[in-house]
Amino acid sequence: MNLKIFLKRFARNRLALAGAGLVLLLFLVSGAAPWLAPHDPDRVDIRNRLKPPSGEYILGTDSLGRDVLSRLVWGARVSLKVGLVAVGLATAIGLLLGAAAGYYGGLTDGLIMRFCDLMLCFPSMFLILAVIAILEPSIWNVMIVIGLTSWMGVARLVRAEFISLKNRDFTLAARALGASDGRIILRHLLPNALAPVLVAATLGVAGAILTESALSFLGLGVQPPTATWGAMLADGKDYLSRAWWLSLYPGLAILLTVLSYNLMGEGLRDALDPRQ
Amino acid sequence: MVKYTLKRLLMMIPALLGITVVSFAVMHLAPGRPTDMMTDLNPQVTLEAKQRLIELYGLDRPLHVQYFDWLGRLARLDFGRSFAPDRRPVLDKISERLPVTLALNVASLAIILCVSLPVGVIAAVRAGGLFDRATTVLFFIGFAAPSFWLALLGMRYFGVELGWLPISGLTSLDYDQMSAPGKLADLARHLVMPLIISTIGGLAGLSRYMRSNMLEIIRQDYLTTARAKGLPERVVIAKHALRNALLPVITILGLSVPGLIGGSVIIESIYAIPGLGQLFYGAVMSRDYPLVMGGLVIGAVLTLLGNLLADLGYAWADPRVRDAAFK
Repeated sequence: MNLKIFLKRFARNRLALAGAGLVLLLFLVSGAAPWLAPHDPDRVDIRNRLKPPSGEYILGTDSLGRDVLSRLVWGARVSLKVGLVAVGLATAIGLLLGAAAGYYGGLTDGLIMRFCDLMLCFPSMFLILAVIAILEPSIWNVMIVIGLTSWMGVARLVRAEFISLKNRDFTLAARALGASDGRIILRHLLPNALAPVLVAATLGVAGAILTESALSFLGLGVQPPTATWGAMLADGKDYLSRAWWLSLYPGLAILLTVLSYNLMGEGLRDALDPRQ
Repeated sequence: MVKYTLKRLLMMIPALLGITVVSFAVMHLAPGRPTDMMTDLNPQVTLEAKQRLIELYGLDRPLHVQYFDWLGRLARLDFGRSFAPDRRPVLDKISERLPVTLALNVASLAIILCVSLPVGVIAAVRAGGLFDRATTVLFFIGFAAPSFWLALLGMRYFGVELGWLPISGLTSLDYDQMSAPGKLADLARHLVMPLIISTIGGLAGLSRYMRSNMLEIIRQDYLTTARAKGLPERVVIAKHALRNALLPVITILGLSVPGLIGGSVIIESIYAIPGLGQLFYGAVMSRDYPLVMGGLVIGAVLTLLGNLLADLGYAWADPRVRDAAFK
């Protein structure tokens, strides 16, 4: 599709535009974290612990006297990184397996799709927790495990696209001209299958961020002292009645981030859908 | 229908085998041996004792031998014993926790259905209207909000601040002295928050699905026919459109099982509900490998059963499906 038409259609959807704007803002905030954060996010200051929001600590301080706003700003980096790396991995696996299954068909297709069904059988939270428990929690393990357990949707999408594309005239023409399988897949089929993958990846980032925050909340995600929104909420859990700000702002940050990625993804879907 | 059921049951056998292979593989990714956790923390365990443990669990044998050995025991429903100090059989531990989780999930699924189906239908009939837009935005926000955060907010306002609802467990301390109706009311009060919180995230998916389903159907020729013969719009929607839009929902319900079971890890550990999710979380935290492995297998088998029920339900409701299965 023409890029100009696409942008025009995307811009018509105000919610999607707002989502994209927030996502952009999030990128800027994580990029500028060292300059934006008013305090050192990891500096412990026991004398100033559990201070309510004030002029100096705009969103208050946590149980170790660390500035909540600064930790939120730095936490944006973790969310962004986890979302992008996990979804990048999932998309790569999904593209590879989906393309192989759709293009070659037969036994290859059967095996890959049965494996896909099998992975969908496991409650992903169970699988992720089990693997994390074995491999030790860390940001890299969290990203890899989320990626390894969320490629199935992309694989199915790509497979379906490939099956519908592989016998079209342009593919047959390329083959008649002597193009290799690899060339047909990379140059002719893949570009045509990218639109739904882009939508799935955008929505996938939202899911990955939610999963990471849940894992960090459970103490099995990114490890302290790194500031992450999920871990900040876990900290706030112990001070529900004494320090409401600890359990409010990090959740709001997760909500807004996930919401913007979802809105952006839905907007992309509508803008890329040729039926509209 | 009997033939279809049998065929569908046979199809589960390779899936079951696959589940055991993946579960086994996951648990043997670990560098080191599962017994290390039991022994490393205890300085009194001698090297010989460690060796005895390794031999007891057969960890010195080749992987495929270990796998088939484990599979053979699984076939006799022997999931091994927990590493926890009580050393109880894994299956006992899981089966006493399972009813709580199942009941919670069935209840929250019922609430999700009761809310999102009508919302989806109304949103589709008046697509683009205020109701449609308001529910879409609201459910989208609910979908994006992390359940553990909503749980924390709920605990703070309704539990701590207002004191309306209890914030943990399934029963109060004086539960045993209560009368039967009192017990029921106590249980219900404890369940209100976990149920509502675990429902919120599921509303968006099903109502959006129902909405787009209805929109598709409303455009079909047979609805035009129904209207043309003078049926009131209410009957056209409630009878002709709804029936066909409801069919695929059965499949969606089956597909939502793994998400619900996975989600119970979070809800149950926050609200201290003694279900499968809390058990599994505890097992993961204490590296209770036999219990983790058992939980993985049971979790996947539950999903498989959910899909089976959904497929059978669909075939029962739509004869085209069971006929197509034999073509």
